[in-house]
Amino acid sequence: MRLAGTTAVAVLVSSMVLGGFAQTSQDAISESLAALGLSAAARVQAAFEQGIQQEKLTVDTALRLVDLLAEASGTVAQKEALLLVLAAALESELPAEGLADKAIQGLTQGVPLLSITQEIETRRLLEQAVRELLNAKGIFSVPDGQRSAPHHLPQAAFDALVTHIAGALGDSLEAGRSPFESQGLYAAVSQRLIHLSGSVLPQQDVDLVLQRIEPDDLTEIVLVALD
Amino acid sequence: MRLDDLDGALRETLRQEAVASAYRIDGLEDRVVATISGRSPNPGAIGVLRQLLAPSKGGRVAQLALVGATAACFLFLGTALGPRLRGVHTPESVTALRAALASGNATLFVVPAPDAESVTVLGNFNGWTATPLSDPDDDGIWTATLDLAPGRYEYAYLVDGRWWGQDPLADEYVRSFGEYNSVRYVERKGDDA
Repeated sequence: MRLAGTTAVAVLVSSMVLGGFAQTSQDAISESLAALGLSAAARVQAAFEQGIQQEKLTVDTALRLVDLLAEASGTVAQKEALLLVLAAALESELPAEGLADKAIQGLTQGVPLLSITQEIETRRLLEQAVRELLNAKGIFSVPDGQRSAPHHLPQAAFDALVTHIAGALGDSLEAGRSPFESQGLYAAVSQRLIHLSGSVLPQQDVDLVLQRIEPDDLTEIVLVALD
Repeated sequence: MRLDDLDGALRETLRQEAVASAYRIDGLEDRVVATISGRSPNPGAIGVLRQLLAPSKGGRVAQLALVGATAACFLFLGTALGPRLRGVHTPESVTALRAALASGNATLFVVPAPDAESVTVLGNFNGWTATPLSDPDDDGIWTATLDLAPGRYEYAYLVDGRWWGQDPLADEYVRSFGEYNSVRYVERKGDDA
C-alpha cells in the first residue's frame, strides 16, 4: 500500500516536472518566435508545437534554430520564409529534425537566408516524394505498437527511413550529381541505409526498402521534387 | 575512388615514391654509365641519353647536371612534403586510431594542427555549436572525446576559425553549402567499427 502510494506520488511529481519543462520549453520557443516579429508567427508556433508533440522535431533544435535566426542578418520576410518551409513540413507530418539541422548548419556558416531556404525546401520536397514512393511500394507507417506486418513500420522507424533516404538524395544533388544518374543515387541511398542498418534502422526495414526500390524510382522522385 | 580521397592518396603516393626512390641517388652516375655502356648503340631516347652521358667534357657537365637535378628534385620533395606529411595521419596511425575507437566507449575527434591556437568541432551532435578540442601536451595533436549515441553524424572542425571538413578519420564526406563536411557513423557499443 505504502509502495503504491509512493509510486503514485513519484509519477505525479515526474509528470508535473516534465510537463512544466515541456511548457517552459514551448514558452521559450514562443517568446523567441515573437521576438522575430513574424506575421505568420501563430502558424509557425502551431506547426512547431504539433511537430514536437509528434516527435518530428526536438525542442532543442527548434530553440537553436529560432535563436540563430534572431541573430542572422536578413529581413523578417526572409526569416519567415525559412520557418514556413519547416512549418509546411510539420503540417504535413514530415520529419523536420534533419531539415532544421540543415538550416542551423547554414546559419552557423553564415550562408545567405535565401540559399538556406531553397536548400531545405528542396529537401522537404524530397522527403515528401520519398514518403509517397515508400507508400507506393507498399511500405507504410503505423501507430507505435501496432505493427502487424513487415511492411508496416512504426512511425519513428518510417520517419527515420524518410529522413535518411531523402538526406542521401539531397546530399547527392548538392554534390552535383545529376538526377538522371539512377545508379549513383541508388548507391548513395543504399550505402547510407546499410551503414545505419542494425544500429539506427532495423535490418529488416533496410532490406525491405532496398528490395522494393529501384534506381529508376529515385530518378523519378528526384525529378518530381525538383520540378 | 572518391574525389575527396584523391588529395590524401596523392600525398601518400608522393611520399612513398620519394622514400622508395631515394636509394637510387646513391651511385646513380656509375650505374647509369655502366648500364648504358653495356648496351649496343640504340637510336632514339637511349641514343640521346648515351650522348648526354658520354665521357666527353660537355657530356660530363650534362651528366653531372642530370644527377644534380635528380638529387635536387628528391631534396625538394623531402623538404617540401616532409613537414606536411608529419602533420597528416599515416595509414598506420589511422588504423590504430580506428582500433582505439572501436574498442572504446566514446567517439574520438583528432586534429593535427601544430600551429593552431584553437580547434573546435561542431556538428549535428551539438547543434553546430563549437565544442573545444584540447592539446594539453602541446604536441600539436588536438583531441576531444564525445559520447555519441548510435547514428550518423555530420561535422566539421574550426581551426583558428577556418572551416575544415575533411577529417581523415571520417567514414565519408558530403558537400554542404559549398563546404565539405565529414561524416561518422556511430554504431552500437560492441558492434564492429
